Amino acid sequence: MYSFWQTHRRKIVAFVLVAMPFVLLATSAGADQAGHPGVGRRATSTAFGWVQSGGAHVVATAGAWLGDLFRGDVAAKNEELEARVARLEEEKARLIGVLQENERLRELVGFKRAHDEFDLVPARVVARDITPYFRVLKVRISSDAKLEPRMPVVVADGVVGQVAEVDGDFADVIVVSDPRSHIDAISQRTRAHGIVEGLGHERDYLCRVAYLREKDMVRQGDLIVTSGMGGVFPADLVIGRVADVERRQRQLFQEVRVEPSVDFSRIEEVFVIRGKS
Amino acid sequence: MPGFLTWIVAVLLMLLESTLLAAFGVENLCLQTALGVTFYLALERDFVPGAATLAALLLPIEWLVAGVPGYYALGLVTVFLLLRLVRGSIQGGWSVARFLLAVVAAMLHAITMVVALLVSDPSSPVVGAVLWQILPASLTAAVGCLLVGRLFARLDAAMAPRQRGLLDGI
Repeated sequence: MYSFWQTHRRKIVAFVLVAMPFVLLATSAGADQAGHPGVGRRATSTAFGWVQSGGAHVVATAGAWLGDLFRGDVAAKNEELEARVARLEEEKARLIGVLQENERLRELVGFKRAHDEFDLVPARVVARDITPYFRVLKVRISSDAKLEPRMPVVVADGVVGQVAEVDGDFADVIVVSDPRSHIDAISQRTRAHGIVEGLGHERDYLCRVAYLREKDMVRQGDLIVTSGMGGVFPADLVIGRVADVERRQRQLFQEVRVEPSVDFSRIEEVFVIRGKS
Repeated sequence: MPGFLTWIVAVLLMLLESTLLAAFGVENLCLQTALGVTFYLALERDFVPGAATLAALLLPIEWLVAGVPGYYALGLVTVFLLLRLVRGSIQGGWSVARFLLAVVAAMLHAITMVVALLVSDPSSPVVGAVLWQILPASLTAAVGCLLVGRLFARLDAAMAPRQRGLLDGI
């Protein structure tokens, strides 16, 4: 056996390496068709989630510490008075941080009150995908609620995306601008119907509205909201505003680009809609 | 550095990257550490330990990528095997030559994904997203390859200082 391994190990390892991606392709990387991960994946993913969650905490603490250090450095140069100013600056910065968090939470609470018909589960963003080609957020669920794939994810500004996979306390959320995202939508002004698809562009989070007929007179600035069709998103949740309309002659559909109402680079807390409360 | 330690450091690097991307919201500066690790394994490890470590990394990479399953891993394996062919002709040290090679490797990775997607799912919108970002993603990934390479080189030197001294003497 050992001599067999010694003789053929290069071939065996090469075979395993080449076969692995195809196995992943065939098995959806360990998830079943409904998007539920297997036991091994769930355990590892939960461990990863804890590390990422701890990492997020460390990064936030380190950022605050570095800010303090910088301020302390300046204070040392200007003796007591400057030290006092630095202390006040620090307090002010903390206060601003608290106020901003307060405002965000107020918005979320306001959203929750405004939509008390939904069963909303709060979650915190702890990580992202590690490629520039996809737009996936990893969130940590802040309650014992059980989530399922395809549940909508929102913030006060509008739609964030939908749950792709759930691993214990953590879930992967496919953002609206991910190229795999498709949301049934309508223009609020004209009620024209289309499908919002992510473009996956690098510097922005633009989406496009597919299957919007040429005769539907959509214009720049129109609000695009969820249609409620498709059984995933409730109706009238804001997706974004029309940024650009390109009408093409002799084509069935027009090219409409949408700028999402949510700034995905600054999301910290989200809500998952579990259904009607 | 032993294979299992390489695996652990690589996974920790990828977890750190995903956390930092979420903390700062800078997706356009994604360094693709997974590609950096592949680049390092292909150029600095013997075939069997390098391929075995990469094979063991593919599953966690796919989970952290959270993309269409398999395609990203397929790109990494292709890059690994192609880099093995040229590793003898590339200068040692993590400098400009390797940066340029890393740009090409990152492009090859993206092209492999595109070809695989076109074969299996031609209408996939992911193709457009990958093509749109192929150039900026390659440049940032090349920077990531150098950073990861330098880090692993340091760790290798720290783990086996005597071996390094002997080689330097030759």
